[in-house]
Amino acid sequence: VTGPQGSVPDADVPLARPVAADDALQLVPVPESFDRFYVREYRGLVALAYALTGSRGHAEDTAQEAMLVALRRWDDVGRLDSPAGWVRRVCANLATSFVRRRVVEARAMLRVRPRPNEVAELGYDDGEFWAAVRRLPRRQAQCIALTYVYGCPVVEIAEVLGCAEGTVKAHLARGRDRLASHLDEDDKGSRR
Amino acid sequence: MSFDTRASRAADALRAAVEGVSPMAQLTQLRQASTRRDRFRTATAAALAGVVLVAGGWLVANHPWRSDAVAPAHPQPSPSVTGPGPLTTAQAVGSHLHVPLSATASAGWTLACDCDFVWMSVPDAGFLSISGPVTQVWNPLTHKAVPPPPDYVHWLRTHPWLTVLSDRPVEVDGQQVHVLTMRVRADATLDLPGLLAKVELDGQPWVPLGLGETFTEAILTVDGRTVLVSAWDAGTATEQNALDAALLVLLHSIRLG
Repeated sequence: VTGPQGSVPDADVPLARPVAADDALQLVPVPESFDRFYVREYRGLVALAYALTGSRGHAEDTAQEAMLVALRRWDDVGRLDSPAGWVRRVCANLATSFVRRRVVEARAMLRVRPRPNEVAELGYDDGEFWAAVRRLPRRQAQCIALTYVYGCPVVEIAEVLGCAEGTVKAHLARGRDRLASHLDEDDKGSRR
Repeated sequence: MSFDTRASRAADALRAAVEGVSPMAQLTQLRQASTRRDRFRTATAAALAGVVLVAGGWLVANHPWRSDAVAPAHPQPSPSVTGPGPLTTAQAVGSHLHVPLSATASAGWTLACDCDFVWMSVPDAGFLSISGPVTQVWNPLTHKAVPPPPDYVHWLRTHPWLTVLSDRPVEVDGQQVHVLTMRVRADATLDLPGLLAKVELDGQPWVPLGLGETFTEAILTVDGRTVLVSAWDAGTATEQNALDAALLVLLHSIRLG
């Protein structure tokens, strides 16, 4: 499974600029520009938020909110090993937190003009799948979404969510079991 | 169809659904919103600082310790229907809390919820909330919910996930309370980010915080129970100052009993 791609390729390659230090020139890593980061990551965040909120409008607001947090702290966030992991965590937490979602909704309410919705609606089966994901406990839903939306391996999910690999494996196993059982029941129900 | 096949198909559909999203257009909007917020925050901070100065001066001039002081009349907000949306006038809040506490939301704030907790936004600064009574706290060592500590302020001060940046005494309707500004440590080992305390709510009970986040909390005791009045989600120092000033305005409006 591959993640959504933006229009700026290879942006994960560390950038560097030469600076004078003592008598020698050294290569010092410099943070990627926020704009470049935004263009690469934004669509993926919208997809992640859409999976976890189920709302096309809130998905864009949630992704934008996560990016706004990153923009305000870009001096620090941009120097992290994985700014993308950081903003995905913010986005996943925003999307699955009741209180934080209310924050996003309130900010959306404060906007004067509504934004045209650029996110397409999902078909019935796919919509049902993500609805079942949202019925899972918060962490299980986040692990499943990161696995399938971004194709993240366990080690990366553990880094994004700030927990142990074993915990992620347990969440994924339980989440998959529950999902399979939910979807099976739904299928049986729809055949009746 | 196997589970993995169905999941992959659903993920493909999700990615196709966001293909039409234009990051460049959204980036422009984000930059504009950020600039507007910066300007608004500066203006709000200046205005709130003025309000606090005037209110402080008034309190000093009229405080009961002055022999010639007359007990100040508390402004009584007019009762009105509580619903979500920006407030055009000050509004009483807190009538649905599980403790006898009322407060006033200032004009210009947006009231998101006046139910068993009060939650409102100060536009372009952050959020203010009044919790229900704390019923449990999250033990950072055992990662389990436990009964609240007898001294909640001390528990916060010594919490391994938190750095206390400031601790100010504020009088709230005759009660001396601590107002703590704290930051969630970047190296906090969280199962679920920032779960500190569970409050008595009908809805989602845990208050989540993010790593590195700064927030301010006033710890009140109402009928022997701990109630938290919080200011959070400020991203910058200027925003935090504006939010702290708004928190003071809210705290001074609180009436207990």
